[in-house]
Amino acid sequence: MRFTLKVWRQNGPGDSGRFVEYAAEDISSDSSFLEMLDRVNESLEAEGEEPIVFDHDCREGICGACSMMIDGYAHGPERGTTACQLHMRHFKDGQTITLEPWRVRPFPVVRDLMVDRSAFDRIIESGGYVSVNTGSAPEANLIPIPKDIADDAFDSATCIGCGACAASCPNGSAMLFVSAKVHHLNSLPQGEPESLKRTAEMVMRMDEEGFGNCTNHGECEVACPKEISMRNISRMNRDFVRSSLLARVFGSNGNS
Amino acid sequence: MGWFSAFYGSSIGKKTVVAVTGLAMIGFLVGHMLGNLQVFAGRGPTPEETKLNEYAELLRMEMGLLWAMRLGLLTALVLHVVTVIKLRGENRRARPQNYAVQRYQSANAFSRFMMWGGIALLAYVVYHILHLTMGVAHPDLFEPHHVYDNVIHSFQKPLIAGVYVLATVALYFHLYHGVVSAFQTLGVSHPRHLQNVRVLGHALAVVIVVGFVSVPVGVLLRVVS
Amino acid sequence: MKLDARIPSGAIAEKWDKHRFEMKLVNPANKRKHSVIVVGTGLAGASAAASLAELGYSVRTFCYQDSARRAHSIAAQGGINAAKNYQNDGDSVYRLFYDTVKGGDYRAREANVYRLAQVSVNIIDQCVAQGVPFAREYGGLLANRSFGGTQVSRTFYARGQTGQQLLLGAYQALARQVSAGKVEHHSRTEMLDVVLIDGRARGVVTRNLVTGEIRTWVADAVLLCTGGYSNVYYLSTNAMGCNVTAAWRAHRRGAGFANPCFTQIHPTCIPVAGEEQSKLTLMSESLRNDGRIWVPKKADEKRRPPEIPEGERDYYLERRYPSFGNLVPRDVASRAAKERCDAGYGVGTTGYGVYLDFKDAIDRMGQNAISERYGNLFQMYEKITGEDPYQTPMRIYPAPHYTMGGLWVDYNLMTTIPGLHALGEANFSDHGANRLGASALMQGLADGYFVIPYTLGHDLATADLPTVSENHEECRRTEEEARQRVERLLSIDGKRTVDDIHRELGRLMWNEVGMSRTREGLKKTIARIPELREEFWKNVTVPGSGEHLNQSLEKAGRLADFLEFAEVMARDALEREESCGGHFREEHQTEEGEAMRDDDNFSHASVWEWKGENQAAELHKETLEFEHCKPTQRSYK
Repeated sequence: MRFTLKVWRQNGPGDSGRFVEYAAEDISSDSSFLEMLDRVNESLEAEGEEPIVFDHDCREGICGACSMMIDGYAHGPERGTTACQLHMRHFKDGQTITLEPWRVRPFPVVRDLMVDRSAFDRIIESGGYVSVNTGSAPEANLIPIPKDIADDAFDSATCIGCGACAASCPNGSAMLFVSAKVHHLNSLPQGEPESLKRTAEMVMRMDEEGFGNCTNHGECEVACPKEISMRNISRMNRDFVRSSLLARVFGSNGNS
Repeated sequence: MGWFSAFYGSSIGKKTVVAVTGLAMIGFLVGHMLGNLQVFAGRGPTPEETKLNEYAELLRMEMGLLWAMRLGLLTALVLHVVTVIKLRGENRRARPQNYAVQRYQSANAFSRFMMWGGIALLAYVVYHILHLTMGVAHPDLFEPHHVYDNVIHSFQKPLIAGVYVLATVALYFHLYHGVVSAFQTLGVSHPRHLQNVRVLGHALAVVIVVGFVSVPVGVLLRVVS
Repeated sequence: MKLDARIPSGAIAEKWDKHRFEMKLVNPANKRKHSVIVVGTGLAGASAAASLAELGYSVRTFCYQDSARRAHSIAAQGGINAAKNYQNDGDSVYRLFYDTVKGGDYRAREANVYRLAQVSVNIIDQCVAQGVPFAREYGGLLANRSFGGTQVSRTFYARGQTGQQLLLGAYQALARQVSAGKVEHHSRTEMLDVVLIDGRARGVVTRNLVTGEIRTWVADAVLLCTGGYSNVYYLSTNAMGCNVTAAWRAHRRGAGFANPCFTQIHPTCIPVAGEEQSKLTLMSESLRNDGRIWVPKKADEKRRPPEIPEGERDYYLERRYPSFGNLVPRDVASRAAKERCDAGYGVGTTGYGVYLDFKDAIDRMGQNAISERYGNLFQMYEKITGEDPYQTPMRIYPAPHYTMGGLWVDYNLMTTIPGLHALGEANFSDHGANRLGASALMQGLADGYFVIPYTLGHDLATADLPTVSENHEECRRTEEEARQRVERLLSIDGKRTVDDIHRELGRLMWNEVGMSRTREGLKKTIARIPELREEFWKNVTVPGSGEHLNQSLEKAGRLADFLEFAEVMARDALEREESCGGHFREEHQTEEGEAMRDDDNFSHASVWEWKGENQAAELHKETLEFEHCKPTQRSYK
């Protein structure tokens, strides 16, 4: 197969960036999208040119490193699939494919298709954990957790932190990412004691980072390679309102 | 009020304000629509005995209450609009550069035209107040306290009726996404409830819109005169 | 090089308790003054950094990924073992210990393994308290499954994403310490060297991958939690960035490298599709519970699998190992697949693949039951290959997956360099010559949560730690060497790409130091590697500069270290004249083709000492004593 790639090249956050066209020749339909890029890059390197920079690591859809807009879709047109698990058989021979980095203000471009997603780390640091020191844990089976609750928490916990939700959101909102972690921890008895404080602080941090607001377009849910549900968002809304309004009106300070 | 400004300062806080004010205005719309339907009771023997005029007089019985309501509505509207403008600004800042190619998969006409629908409605509301409350839009078609006549005379003009019909179309789009979003914002998350909310959103939008649109259309088709 | 394993005296069950009492403690008020560097933020690194910070130490962490959450521990699928005995099926600390030593083919240190089994139960408690959503029964209690051929159900799991959930738990614990100001974390930062001052590891040199800045960080101790070296094969199930650089640079500074030839080849991976392939994908071992492995009886079979009648299929594992059948351990299953394919019976376009067939299981239990068990794996397979495994058998082939070898460490996880510790897959300690399924996660977390917090305290309390700064002459010198190396890589301006040379190295290692090894092949490889290394330093091309993000440069630096490391790996394989665990020497097999261990001559860990560039490394031996697990020949017939 052969493809024409229109790739966003940008030397750094200060550079304005531009599209450059590359030809990807003689690509096997069995190769993955990133392997196709590898091939283009290797031919660039062989000519002494700098390859197209993109984030990637595990290449099995779990580390969350890969991140690019492929022809207008975060991670490409296949649902529930990261860019690294996308295969060329899903494209038409001779197709022109446009590649862009995530475009959200809190994710500044590092180079070409690579962005800085440390905003997500800072959101987790603001409260995305259970405060338990090593060694102080009670016996694991002491607190039974109903299977449906554990399964539901797992569904939210499968988030890989790739940023596709914020990247695909017309408002640049990170609500799906934040709410997945909030719900994962808030719904479990281990995370419940800190739930209101966690919600308030993670939302505050998310706002400070400069992400936009959810207007229920639902793009995030469709773009999410782990198919995390927008239900998390409404549950987080509820927890947030509880933590910042009701708790204060009725004189408690949340559970902080 | 420290907690409120902190709450309002957050994205979810602002969204909650939009949702609550939106729902309040929907409540008003339902009442307004039921009032409007009095037009189908037709013309009474005298203007005073005309149902629609009776309803309008009823509102004016207690001017204090009327103004309180008007003020409440105005507050809701201003909060709604101002907050949405703030949110919109934040959203634009979050996406300073658009994609050269972006294909939407889930965003639809309802969610994407909220803003335009809202602007259209705002313009319409101003026109509507100038037209039927203050009587300055078409002074020739307006006579104070003769609500029924004013309505009939105005809507016999296809252009004016058309504006009202168009406004209700905008209302439909705005209402459906608004109702569903409001409940999502306020934390309805169970899939079954969410399904119900979607049905409710459509049903409410349809009922309100049909209720409103029936008046100009009814007049235009000479069902009432 | 002196190898003192510092195994505490006393009965095996009491060693760890006794040792914990005997170790010196650091005064709580002084912990803050001790700085610790942790390189790598996978299960071992993140758990160690978080736990040490909780204790009060000042910790700095580094990872090459853009976030600590992306370390490759995240890709582990199957589960984590622990001797909880929740299933009441006869498990115990002693049994987990015994299984691990036996599974490792009697090449692990008993005392370490016993401790691993002991703390395994605490790991589960800790992770559950962090909110790790393990699978549960309807009663709300934790679920277990049996895994990798063990006879008890001791594996805890979170669907097929156990590694992800455990890593996120550790990452969140780390994030909590970052926000508390106890950990200073640096992403996109790669360690290039370790700094020794007066014989003790006192810092590291790193390169900021975004700005290219090369600088030194000093500390009182350094922890390497940098994973394994499977990428020496180019194609493996490791992430693209996994590398041996940190361990290898430490080795060059004096840390002994133990058992580099012990590599694990996982039997159930998706076969290589073509030249462009960059990475291999593992399919969970659990598939072998219900799938049957076969190849056609006729070489060069052209028919599609469903058209091949039952009588013309060779279910070779069931044929060779009637009692274990498709559930033989990883090393045995892998070698058997290779044997069939080498003999010309392999399937798929490359001829390197065997069928894993679910037809019988689907007929027996129905498609729904199979989909419930393996739905996500079947989906992943279809995504990658475009074939539907419900309709046609999967094709699988072994792939490099885990490396048991690593930096030699004593009972306290300290390498032969004082102050330099190695945790998780980066060390050699617990798995011997073969790792059991679901034990990698256990070991990484055991080292990080429950071993190093104690043993590091002892090291810091007893070490002489004069104040040093980044301006120390040794720091400057090490930093300068790292800088020169980067400049050298950038100045070669040759013809071949880094990947091209890496592919060649990978092919060589896979063919000769892979699933089965021969004296002749190893000798040839040992001769070939220096040539390839020379080719690299003369003819590689690394475009761009060192002052900005340059992925070609990153890859080149890693490959340069693999090219040195590969040689000692091959030499280790040549030196070990026996077959054990993942190391199979064709000269040492029974008439039926089974591995033959030589306990009289090779019951030791081989520890290599760096002697300088283009000098042969020197071999040292740590003799392994087996008081409790008496070596027996493994038999799966």
